[in-house]
Amino acid sequence: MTREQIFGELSGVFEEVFGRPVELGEETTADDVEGWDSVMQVMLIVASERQFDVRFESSEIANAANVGEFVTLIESKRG
Amino acid sequence: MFVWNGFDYIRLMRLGMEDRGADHAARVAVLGWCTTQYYAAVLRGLGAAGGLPVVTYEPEYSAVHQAVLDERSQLYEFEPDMVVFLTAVQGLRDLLMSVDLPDRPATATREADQLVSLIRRAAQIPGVTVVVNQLVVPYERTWGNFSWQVEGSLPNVVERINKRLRGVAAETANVHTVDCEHIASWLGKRAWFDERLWFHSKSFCHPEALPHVAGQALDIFRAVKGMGLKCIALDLDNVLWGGVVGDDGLEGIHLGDLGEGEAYVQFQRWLKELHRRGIILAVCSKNDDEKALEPFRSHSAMVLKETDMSCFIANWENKADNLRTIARRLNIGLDSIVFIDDSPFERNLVRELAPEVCVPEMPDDAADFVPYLESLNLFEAAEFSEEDRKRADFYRSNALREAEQEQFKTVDDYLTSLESEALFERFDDAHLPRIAQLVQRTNQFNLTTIRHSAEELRQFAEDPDYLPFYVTLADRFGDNGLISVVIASREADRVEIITWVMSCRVIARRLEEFVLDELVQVCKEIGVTQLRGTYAPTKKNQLVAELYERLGFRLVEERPDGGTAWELLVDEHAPSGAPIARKVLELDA
Repeated sequence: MTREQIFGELSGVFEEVFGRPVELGEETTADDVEGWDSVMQVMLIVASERQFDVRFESSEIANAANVGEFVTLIESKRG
Repeated sequence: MFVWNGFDYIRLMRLGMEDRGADHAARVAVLGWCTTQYYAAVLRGLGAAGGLPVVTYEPEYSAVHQAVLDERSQLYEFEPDMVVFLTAVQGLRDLLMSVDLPDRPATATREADQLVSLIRRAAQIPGVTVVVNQLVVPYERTWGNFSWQVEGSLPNVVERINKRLRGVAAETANVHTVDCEHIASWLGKRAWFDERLWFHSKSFCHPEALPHVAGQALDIFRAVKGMGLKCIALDLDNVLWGGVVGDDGLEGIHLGDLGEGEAYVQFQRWLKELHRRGIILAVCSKNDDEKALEPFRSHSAMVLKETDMSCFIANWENKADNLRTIARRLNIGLDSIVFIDDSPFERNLVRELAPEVCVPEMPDDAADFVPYLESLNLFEAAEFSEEDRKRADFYRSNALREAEQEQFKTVDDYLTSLESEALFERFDDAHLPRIAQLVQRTNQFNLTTIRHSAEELRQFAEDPDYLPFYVTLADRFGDNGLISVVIASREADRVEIITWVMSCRVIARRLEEFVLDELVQVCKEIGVTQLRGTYAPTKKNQLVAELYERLGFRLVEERPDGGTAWELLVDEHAPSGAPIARKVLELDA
């Protein structure tokens, strides 16, 4: 799965969780997206686990620094 | 009706976050020793999707004690219809593990005592239903399988607390428990327990399990409010047996013995068990009537008999119309019917043309019918009484009456032919549970919709200033049981009807006229000259808006909310001649 594909599917996950399209870039952080709080964070994690068939570790559940980093994390888990 | 068919908890959560409820929404307080937001969102999502809008109130994290014990807290201001206690075994586990083995049972008892006192206090909120999540038995088994033999082991201690919670539910009518241990084992405890999410956000289960946990709390609420499903309307071919009886013949259908045929027998056994519980069974099949009846009459492996079916419709009309006929004959709402059919065409047709009906998808393999339908928890019960056991028979005789009515020229001829007999008696202890059930549940024939508590009803029974009566009705088709309650209070020479309810089962039987005749008779005996009654409108009791007028009362007051007050002079009332004979209560020697 390429980085672009992961970005694409992740946009779908964000739309599913937030109920609206969310503009995602490498540098996007939780502060840039309205409503991205700790509750939504957990939903994003479990929805991403389902979408990408990966499992995040406890230390990875709290906010990643930005979306780019999160995509890198998924990339590394999918190998 | 909406059926929870998948596991899309994310969609439900989002729906719940968007939905802000409505004025007429059910008010649910969610109290937890864990994060409550996820549960509350799924609950609102399920409510919005299922046509039962929900608004929630959640106190601060883990502030359950303060919320319940402080009567000035927002919990009481919120005036909840339902209070849910979300227990988290993870927190309890941490507490128990900090205590040495010999002290654990005492610690567990103390925790249980606290929880029980909170439950009991919350249960005193007027009109509330309390739902408590039972604990999931922890997966930590320090002694392996031997853990059950060790008194202070986590599984043992937690099971003991669960037993206590079930005990409270058994002795308190408005307290119910959700069997989370069942849900967790059904989904798999490995899926239920997600320790990462407990550590990170104090989630008591993986969100995937939430639609089940929250859904069953709503199921309980519906059952308590009498909004549960009452009737299963069944297709026949490839539902009760394999194959098509019209084509394959009696000998050709798969039923009994081994393999596929046994799966249908098991499904029938499951239906029979629900029937014993009081769920009504009906047939809704595209078939020739005679062919459809043949297996019921002649196939040795049939578990269900013709007499188990309260209403039997086999013809070539469309099934949405047939379901309406079933609803009419049984005198139940379309929204209390679940329709089971193997054909996607028929299911979709009913969903389109009779959207009130609950239409679950069905698995292709008959061996999956029961596990699948069980997973939907369609038939939650709020209680189980003798009355419930007999219910299917009531409805069967109703349908027979309905069919016979078509032969009579006038309704009165027909009613007279029924040879009806009724009891009209003051409340007694033996009948109080059913009286409470009727007062609690009746929506349509209900003049004032005052939900008296069981305790109030008991007090009426003992108070000479009250005239509390129950009414039963039987006829040659069967016994309808206790189907009406009228409560009046006496002040000097006037009697005021404060509550009058009647089951929909017996509407259009002139029973209300009989009840008034009897009540007037009582008034005469105690020297009362005036009888008064009130109609307080709700969304559901339009049926009785003109009842008092029809019974000869005079309008004395019209209120801004549409309510009306009525008066009848006892001496001016002429007996109605309703064709119902009053029966005298036979006391057991």
